Amino acid sequence: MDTIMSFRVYGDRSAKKAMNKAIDRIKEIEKHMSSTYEDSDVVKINKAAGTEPVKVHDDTFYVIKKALEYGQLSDGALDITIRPIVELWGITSDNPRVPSKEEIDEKLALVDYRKVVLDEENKTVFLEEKGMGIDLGAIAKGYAADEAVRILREAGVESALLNLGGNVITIGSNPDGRSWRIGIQDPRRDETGEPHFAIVGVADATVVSSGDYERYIEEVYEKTGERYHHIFDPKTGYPADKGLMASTIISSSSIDADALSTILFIMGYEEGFNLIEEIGNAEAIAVTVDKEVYTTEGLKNSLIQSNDHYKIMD
Amino acid sequence: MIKTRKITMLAIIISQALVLHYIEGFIPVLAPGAKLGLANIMTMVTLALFGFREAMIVVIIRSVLGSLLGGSVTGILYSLSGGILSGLIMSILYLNFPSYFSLMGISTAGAVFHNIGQLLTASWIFGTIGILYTYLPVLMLAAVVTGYFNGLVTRYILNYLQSKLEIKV
Amino acid sequence: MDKSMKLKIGDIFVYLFILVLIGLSLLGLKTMGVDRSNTVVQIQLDGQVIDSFEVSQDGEIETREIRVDTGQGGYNIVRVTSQGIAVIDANCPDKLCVRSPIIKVPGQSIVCIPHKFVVRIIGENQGDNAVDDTAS
Repeated sequence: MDTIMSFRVYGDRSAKKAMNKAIDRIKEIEKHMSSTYEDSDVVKINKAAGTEPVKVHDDTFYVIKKALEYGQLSDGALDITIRPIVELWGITSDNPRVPSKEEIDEKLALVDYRKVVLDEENKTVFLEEKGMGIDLGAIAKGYAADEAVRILREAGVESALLNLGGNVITIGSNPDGRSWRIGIQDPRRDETGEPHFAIVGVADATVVSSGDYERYIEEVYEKTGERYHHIFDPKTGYPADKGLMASTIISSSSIDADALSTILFIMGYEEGFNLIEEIGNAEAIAVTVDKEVYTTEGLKNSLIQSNDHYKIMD
Repeated sequence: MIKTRKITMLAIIISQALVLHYIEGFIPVLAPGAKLGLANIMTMVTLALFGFREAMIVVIIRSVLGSLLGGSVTGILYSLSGGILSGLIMSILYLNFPSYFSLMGISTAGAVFHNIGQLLTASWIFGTIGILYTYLPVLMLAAVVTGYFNGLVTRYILNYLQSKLEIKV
Repeated sequence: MDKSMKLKIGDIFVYLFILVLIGLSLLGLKTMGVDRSNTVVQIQLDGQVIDSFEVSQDGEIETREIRVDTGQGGYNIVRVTSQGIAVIDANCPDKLCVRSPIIKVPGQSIVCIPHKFVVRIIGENQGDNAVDDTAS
């Protein structure tokens, strides 16, 4: 994950202990689910693709299982077997590049969440074909956040504001009595100079944003203005282009918020909102490339606009 | 004193200073980059035996070598700033006002300016003068203790050299 | 070189000098504190911002008093000093605003409910857009 974390926890000494315990748990989860750490469950699974099932820790198993469920719910929009595509584009490395269609189609054949075999009893995971690979980046942070919240709540913490690599998680409200005021990052912050485009008041909820602004191939962007970002559409092998610059989910479950924000971005807001409203435990905000902002029903009129480069639509 | 003897003595002094520098690296620091300044004992000894120029040479060589051997390049800055400033002050006091100060006083003054030099360097590196204000009080108290200790040790060393090795101080 | 280990007059100067330095540092620490330049104070009546001003010019905080007429004969008097902001007088029935402690930090506010009066400190560039954190 290699993410920057910040913790604001209100409480007494037991709160401090709980905070440290939460940090340790997050590091542990990171070790199990990292795509780069040699001993991680994910790396082991990927190495054994096409060969044999790999026994994993309970938490890894749970996260993979949840991710596959989301794969099904979203009809493949969230697909953790996206790793071969991620590696092909090299977007997390120092040398990202735009691959050819042939290269993409070749790797696309290895992307299919249905080819992941789980053995519930033995807690093993098996990737059916050689060359397949999983990446839990879209969902692991959410799981880690839920664990952190669980640990803090068990210690009696009633008010906290955590930031795990950009995901904002809240427990209770601001100690001064107001709800936590969370800004939603302006996806074109570099151009507008504004940190956020809207503010939302939350309590006991997580706010997760995904967008094309987080990671993209800078060389290409500078030359042609085209953004090849890191949220790949598992159906095409190319960065998702259903017209969104950013998607935000607000939910009391961090793992759901994490998964849904990726799903929303990939599906686009019309289909995405339908799915989210069906699932029912989250609200969403979508920003289109035309700087229009759409929200699900529950958020209508609840967003405080904070910069006028964007238009909040009814 | 004949030249070879002088060079040899300076070499021994510098190596002693290096050892002191190395050892005090193991003592936990009270402030960023700040060390006790035990090596200043050697600065004082050089000052007493030889004079200003030699003392400054010892300081500079000790600082550069000591930091390089310790593996730290920023350390050179801290050592040099502390060492040079304290060396200058000690020289001024020792050479110009010897009767007004005891060795302990001079060493203390040296330790004080050693720390001031290091804090100024830290403030400059970190870009904020607040570092000076925050750590100065603590380091001043440490300087009093170190200074006294340094003075004592210098006194003993000089006495020893004078009596056993018949070196005029 | 004097071989005695006695305390000499110069030594006393050194120790005094040290005390002076310590004193100066503590003083330096006190005046540093919170950077108050560019801090904006906002006065609201009935939810509307009626006045907004910067607390300091060139790092110096000017002391001033502002009388706010809150309508129907009501008033609150705000005093701005380097110590912070306080409501020093008001003709509301409970005078809770006057009894409120002095505020110094962005985010804090003093409220007078009968007069629908709020005076608050806002960090620079924030105004109503102050957030506790941003999801990125």
